[in-house]
Amino acid sequence: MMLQNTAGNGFIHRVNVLTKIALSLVLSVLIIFLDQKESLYLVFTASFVYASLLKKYKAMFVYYLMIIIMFSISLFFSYLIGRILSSAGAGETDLTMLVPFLRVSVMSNITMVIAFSTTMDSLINSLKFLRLPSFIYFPLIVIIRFIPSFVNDVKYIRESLKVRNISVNFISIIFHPVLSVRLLIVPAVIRALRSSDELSIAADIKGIMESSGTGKYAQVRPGKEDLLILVSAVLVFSAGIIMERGVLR
Amino acid sequence: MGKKRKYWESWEIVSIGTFAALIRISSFLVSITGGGMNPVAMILKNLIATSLLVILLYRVRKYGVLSLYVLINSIMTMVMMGRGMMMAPCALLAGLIGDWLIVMLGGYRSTAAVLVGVGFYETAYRIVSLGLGYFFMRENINLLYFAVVTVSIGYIGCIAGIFTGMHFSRELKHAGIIRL
Repeated sequence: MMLQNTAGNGFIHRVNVLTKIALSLVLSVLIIFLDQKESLYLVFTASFVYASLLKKYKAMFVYYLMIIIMFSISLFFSYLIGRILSSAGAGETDLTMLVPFLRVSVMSNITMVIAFSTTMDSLINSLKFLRLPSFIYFPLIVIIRFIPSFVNDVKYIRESLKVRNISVNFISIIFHPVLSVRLLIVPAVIRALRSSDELSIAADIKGIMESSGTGKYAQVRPGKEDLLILVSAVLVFSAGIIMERGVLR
Repeated sequence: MGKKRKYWESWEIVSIGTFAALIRISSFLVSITGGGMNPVAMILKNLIATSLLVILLYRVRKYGVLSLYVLINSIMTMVMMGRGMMMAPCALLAGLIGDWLIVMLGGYRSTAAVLVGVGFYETAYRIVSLGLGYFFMRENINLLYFAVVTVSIGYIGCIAGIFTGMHFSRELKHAGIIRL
């Protein structure tokens, strides 16, 4: 999933990117320990409301459709394996199937918010705020800045193939996988190696690696929106944990 | 008075970033073109990712390159996708052991050492992924069997990728694009 190049101006777009990342990291750990349907329903509903703040209902619909397709395939194979092994719970279709689905959906909602409401600049600024060592910070910036450039390179490669009346698609990947890789990936690798050389020369000339620290070009300060999101998250997580413990008793 | 020389040179750092981006884009591209759950696309995706990792190791021959790549990749996954928090420490440990194995078996100039190091990292990464997958799908263990099949198909591509990466590195050396 790609980050956006342009920011919106809704509530969720004003939330600091570090708040969104912190929230997703805490939730990625918490979600593993929640295994009661009631607590998962609560966290899922909260995450769904959080994702709805994006107002990208079409994207949400497509995302959920993809998750449902993936789970349907998994369930089909799960059913087949269950039938073959004739194990306990074979062909299980009750609500226990829903628990892994809810876990994946919760994380998808959180991921969607980061992907659709974070700009490249805000991410770079937040990384600067973290004051990471240059050998970690610099490759991260290279990745963030280079992903759009690589996407463009791939478009050029596809266009050059079209000029020669060659098309790399689903059929060619299945029937001519090696040829498809040669046509699509090899030029991209060579282009990446060249770009890497050019960028390292530019970094040397500008003395980026020798600089003592990174300057800030904008302040990263938490606002009212961050406070509201964090307080809501703490309340939901606490309620989820209480429900989990309550159900266990 | 000479200034203390930094361990990582700028071109090495840039190469790691560039390859991390390239691996992401290539895998995404093959997944989209190949239709996601298609086994050929799954093998190809892993083959390309591992090949590019081997090329990176041939290009930047310095202790810690695999670990730094894993660290950068983990941070990127956490920052951009908001996941991988549980996976990151285990992946970093696998990367460190992979680097250590390469040095112990003859260094980054030894083909066999790079093969073993990358092979160990990829294997350990998949085992840890499945372990984590178990926690996500523990309510219905049959779902995990499907994940095992998917990961195993990808692993075939991974193993093939080690050899294609070596072959590709030699080709790039002949073309004068990387120094071996």
